Amino acid sequence: MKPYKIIPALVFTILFIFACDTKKQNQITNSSDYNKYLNIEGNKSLDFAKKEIDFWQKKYDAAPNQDTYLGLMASHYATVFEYTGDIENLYKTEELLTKVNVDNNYSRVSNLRSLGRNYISQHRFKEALVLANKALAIGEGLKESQKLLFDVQMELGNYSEALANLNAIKDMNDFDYLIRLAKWNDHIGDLDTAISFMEKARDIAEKEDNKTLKIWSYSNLGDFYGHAGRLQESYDNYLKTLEIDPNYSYALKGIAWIVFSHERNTKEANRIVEAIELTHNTPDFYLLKSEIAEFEGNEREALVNKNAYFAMLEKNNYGAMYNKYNTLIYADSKETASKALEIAKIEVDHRPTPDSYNLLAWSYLNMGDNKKALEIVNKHVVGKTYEPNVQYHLAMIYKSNNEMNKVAPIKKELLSSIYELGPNMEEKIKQL
Amino acid sequence: MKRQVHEFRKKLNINIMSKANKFKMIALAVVTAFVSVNCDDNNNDSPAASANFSGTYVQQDQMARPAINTVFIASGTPKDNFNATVPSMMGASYTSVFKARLLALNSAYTTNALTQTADQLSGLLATDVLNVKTSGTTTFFDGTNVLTGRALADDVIDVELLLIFGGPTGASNPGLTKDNVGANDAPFLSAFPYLAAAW
Amino acid sequence: MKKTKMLLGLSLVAVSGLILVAADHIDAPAVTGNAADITDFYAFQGQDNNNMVFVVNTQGLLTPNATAAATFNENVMVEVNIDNTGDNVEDLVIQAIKRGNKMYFFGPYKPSAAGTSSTIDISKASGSVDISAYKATPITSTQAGMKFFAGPRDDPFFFDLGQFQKILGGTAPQGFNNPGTDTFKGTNVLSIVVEVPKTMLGTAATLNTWAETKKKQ
Repeated sequence: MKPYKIIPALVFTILFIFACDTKKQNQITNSSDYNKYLNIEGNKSLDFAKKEIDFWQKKYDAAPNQDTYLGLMASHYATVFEYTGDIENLYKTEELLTKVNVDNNYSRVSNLRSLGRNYISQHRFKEALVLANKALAIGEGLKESQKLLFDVQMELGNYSEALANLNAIKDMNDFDYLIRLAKWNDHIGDLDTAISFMEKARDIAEKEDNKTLKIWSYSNLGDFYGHAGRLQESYDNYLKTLEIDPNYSYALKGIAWIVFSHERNTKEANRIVEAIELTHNTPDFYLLKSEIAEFEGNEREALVNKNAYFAMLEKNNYGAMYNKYNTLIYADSKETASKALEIAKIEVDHRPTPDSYNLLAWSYLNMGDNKKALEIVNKHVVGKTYEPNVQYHLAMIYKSNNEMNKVAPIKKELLSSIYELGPNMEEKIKQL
Repeated sequence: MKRQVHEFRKKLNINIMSKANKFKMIALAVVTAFVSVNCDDNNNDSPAASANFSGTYVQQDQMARPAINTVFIASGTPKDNFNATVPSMMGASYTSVFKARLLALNSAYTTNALTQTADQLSGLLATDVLNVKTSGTTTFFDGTNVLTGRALADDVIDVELLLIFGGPTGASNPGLTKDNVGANDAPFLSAFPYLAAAW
Repeated sequence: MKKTKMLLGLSLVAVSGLILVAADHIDAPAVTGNAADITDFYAFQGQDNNNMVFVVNTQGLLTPNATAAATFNENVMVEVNIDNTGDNVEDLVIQAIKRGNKMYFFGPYKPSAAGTSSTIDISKASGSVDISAYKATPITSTQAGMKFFAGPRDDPFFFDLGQFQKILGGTAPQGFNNPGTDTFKGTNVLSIVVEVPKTMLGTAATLNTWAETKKKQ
C-alpha cells in the first residue's frame, strides 16, 4: 500500500542483523530531553483558562442576558478538557453553547459551528452535520462552515461531499486549507504528500508566530512522521511541541510510543505514561499500559489495566467516544464477540466509514462468520482505507476464507507498519 | 472517483510548482531590496531602515462606522462580501441590502429624526466610511453636528438606534431607541493617547 | 476464568496501534484570538485643534488576565485609509506594523495603488514607538508633528450587546433594560493611536476614512 514504508522496513532488517552493534543508533529518545516535562509544576494554560472562566462567570452572574460571556466560557471549558481529559468539561462546553444557540434561535453561524465542533469531539457526527448545514444555509462565514463540513463529512465517510468542500476552500496560503488537504491525502493513502502539505501548514504557523497553530502543527507532524517511519523527525517534533507548551501531554504520549514501539523499552514507556496520567487522565492510557504489560508478558498487569479501563468507562459517560476501542476488545473473544457486533453496528450507523465496516466485518469474523466478514470488506473496505490495523483485519479475513494469494502482499506491507501497530502485533503479522 | 482524485492531485502539483517559483522571485526581490537599503548610508536616519517591510499585504478586515455591519446586514452571505468590498463599490451593491434590513428591523419606518427616508438612510450608511470634518467639532452626532467624525465618548449606538427606530420625532419605539449604557466604563484622557488605561 | 484472562490479554494485540493511528487528532484547532479583527475605528480632532487623531482597536474582549500576553502580529498591517476627494477611494494611507517591540508608522502618503492589496514604501516612514506594556505608563513618541502610541488600553466602546442580540433574536419584546449592561465593561483592546497635523491630510473640508487590516502574503 505504501511503498515508502519498504525503506524503513529494509533499514529495520539490516539493523536487526547487526542488532548488537547498532543498538545505539537505534536509540531515538533520550530521557534527558523530556524529563523536565514529566513532573512539571503547574500548567499556565490551564490556570489561565480557569481564571478566564471565573472572570466571565462573575460577569455573567451579574448580567445573565450577556450570552457573549457564555460563548467565551465555553471555549475555555474546551481548553480545560483538552489539558485534563476530564469529560465533564466537554459537556459543560456543550451545555453553554446549547443555551446560546437556543437563546438566539440557532441563527448565529459562529455559535452553530462551535457546537458542531463540540459534537465532533463527542463523536456525535450526525448532529454535527445538521449544525454545519444550518450554518452553511445561513451563509455568513461561508468558508468556516465549509471547513467544518469537510471535517464532519470525512468522519461520516461522505468522501465526495468532503472533497467538494475541500475544493471550495482552496487557498494554498491558508493553514486551515493545507491541514485539511493533508488529511485528505492521508485518507487516500498518500502519506508523503500529506506530510508535505502539513509541513507547508507548519511554515505558515511559524511565519505567523501563532503559538496554538505551531503546537498543533508540530504534534501532528510528530504523528505523521511516525506513520512514515521517520522516527527521528517524529521525536524532534514532539520535543518542539513540548518546548512551546510543556504541558502538552499529547506529545509526551507520542514519545512514550516511540520508546515502547520502536525502542521496546517498556519500563521507560510506563514511566512516561504514569507521569502523564497525573494531569491528563483518560481511559485510553489504561489500554496503552495494558498493551505494554502484555508485551512484557505480564498478563496480570495487563488485565488490571484493562479492568481499570472499563471501570473508568463505567464511571464517566463517554458516549460513543470509545466505541471503536470497545469493539476491538470485545471482538477478540468468542464470548464477547456478539457484544462487539452490537457496537460495530452502532458505529456503522453513526459513521458508515470503511473503518466502521472494518469493525463490523472483524466482529463477524470473530463470531465465526467468515463469509459475511468477507462480503462486508469486499463491499465497503477494500481499496477505501489504508490504515494498517484495518489491513491486518483484512488479511485475517482473507486468510479465513482461504484467499491466501491476497494475504501475502498485505503481510509484506504490514511488516513495515509494525512500529505504527505496536510490538504486540509483530508475531501476529509474521504468522499471517 | 479515483480519476477525480487523481486530477485533483495533478492540479495541486501544478499549483505548488508555480507557487514555489513565485516564492523564489519574492525572496530574490527581498534580498535586492535589502542590499540597496544597506548600501545607502543616508537611510540610517530612517527608523525603518533596519527592519524588513517588504511584501504584499492583503486585506483581512475593514471597518468605518461603528456596528454598521452588526446592525445593518442580516446574517448571511452579504456580510462576508461586504467586508471584502472596497468602499467606493459599497453604495451600488448594498443600498438595497441595507434598506431591506432597515425595514425588517422596523417595518413601520417612514422617516427618522433627520427626515431621511428609508432610501436616504440606507444610501448614506451603505457606503461604510467614517466622515470627518477637518475643522470644527468632530462627532458622530451631538444634536447639532451629524457625522462629522467619531469621538471616543460618542454614544454611537444610541444614535444608530434612534435613526432606525425613533421615527420622525425620535419618540417611537421608546424601548428600542437607546440601550441605556450612556458612557464608557472609564474616563478618557484629554491628551494623547486619549484612551483610558487598561483594566 | 483463566481462559478469559488469556483472551482478554490477547485482545490487546488488536488494540495496538490505535493509540497513535486512531488519533482523530486532526480535529481542527480552535479559532484563536485574531490579530486581524478590527473592533473599532475612531477619527476626531486632537487636543491641539490643528491635529486629527485616528484610533484603530483590535482584539476585543481581553480580560485583565489575558491582556499582558496579547500582542500585535508582525504579519498584520493596520492601515488608516483617507479619501480627500470625495470618491471613497483612498488618496492617503497611514500604515502601522510591528517589528520587534516597536510599532512602525508610514505616511500619510499616497499609496502606489488603491484597494485591497498594499505594499509599504519605506521611504515614507514617519516614525515609530515602543509598544507599551500592560499596566505600564504609556509610551508615546512625537516625530515631525505626528504622535504615536501602540499598546493595550481600556476598550472605549460601550454597548449592551447582549440585550441587543436578544432583541434581534426575538426573545426580548420589552426592548432594552434600564440601566443597560455595558458588555465591554472591564475589558481591554490593543490600540494604535496616531495623531497627525491636519495639513498633512490635504485641503478637503470633509474626509472619508476607514481602517483596514492587511496580512502579509
